[in-house]
Amino acid sequence: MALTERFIDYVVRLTDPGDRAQCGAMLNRRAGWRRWRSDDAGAAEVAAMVVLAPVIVAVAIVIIAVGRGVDAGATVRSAAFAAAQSAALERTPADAVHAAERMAHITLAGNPSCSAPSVAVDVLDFRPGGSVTVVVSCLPRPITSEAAVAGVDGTRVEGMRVDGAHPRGVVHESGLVDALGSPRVGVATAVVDRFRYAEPVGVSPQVVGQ
Amino acid sequence: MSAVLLLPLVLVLCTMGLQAALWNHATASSRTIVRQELLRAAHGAIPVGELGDVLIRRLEQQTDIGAIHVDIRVDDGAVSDGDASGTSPGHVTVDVSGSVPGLVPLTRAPVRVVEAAPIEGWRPWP
Repeated sequence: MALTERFIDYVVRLTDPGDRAQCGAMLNRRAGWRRWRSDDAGAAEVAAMVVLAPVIVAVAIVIIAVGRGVDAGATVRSAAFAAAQSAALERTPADAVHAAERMAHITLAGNPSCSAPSVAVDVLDFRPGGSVTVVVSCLPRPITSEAAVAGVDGTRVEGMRVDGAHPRGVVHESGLVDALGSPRVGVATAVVDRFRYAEPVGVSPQVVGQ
Repeated sequence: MSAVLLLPLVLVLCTMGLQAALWNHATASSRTIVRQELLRAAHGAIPVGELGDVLIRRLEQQTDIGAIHVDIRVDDGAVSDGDASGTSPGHVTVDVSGSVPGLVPLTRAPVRVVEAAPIEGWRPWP
């Protein structure tokens, strides 16, 4: 018997009060089948949620990490620019290095996206008319700020080994976070004012300064 | 059941992504404006005392940032800041904070930009 005919026959039996008793067994079988199908569907939904929930959480983490990374990148570029400008205004390479480091740290101090900043100043060509290059790098702050603090302190977090000398020891434990936590680097070069003297030669310092 | 649970989560994720992009755009725009005006002040084109008003006016005109708070700190490069020679130029630090409208009505996302620039000018040789 075709499925349609069986369904019509079943409906007719249900609507006939005399056949209700004969339909009891069929109803019981259908209820069991429905219950079995419902249990199966529930298991499938649980399995889907088990698979999808981590994916959704990972996507949310990626969104936050990318945002922090972009902000950290813009910050280090700005810090490098300010540091190079500050260094170019100095008269000696030592002062240039000092000024660049100070300016970079001032700029990075108020930014919550950067952690473990480092500043490198190239003063090999520091002379009137030369150039000074500043490289500023920092790590985007990890998703869990506790990890960042622990990375600096060298303590343990949730059973993970943390390298106290390098905060990235925290994120090395996870490939995804490691990829998103790569250092952001900003490089800027400024031209040293050609009218600035490294040393006052043959001229009174006050005359040079004024 | 899955659709009932997943659809809101997917919508929340999409909203988060769009909100992050908008927040990043607002931060980049405000950073650019702050940097431009800060450099003008550092070069002497505008008085440092007027920098706050100029910044607030430009941010209000060109961005959607509201509740703007500008904190300006001027360091004149004195010896007390640990400078080796005492002749380093001073610097201006601008800390701008505010909030931009969020995608979800009645919500706002905080924006903060910190920029610094050296004050240019002739200084006497020590």
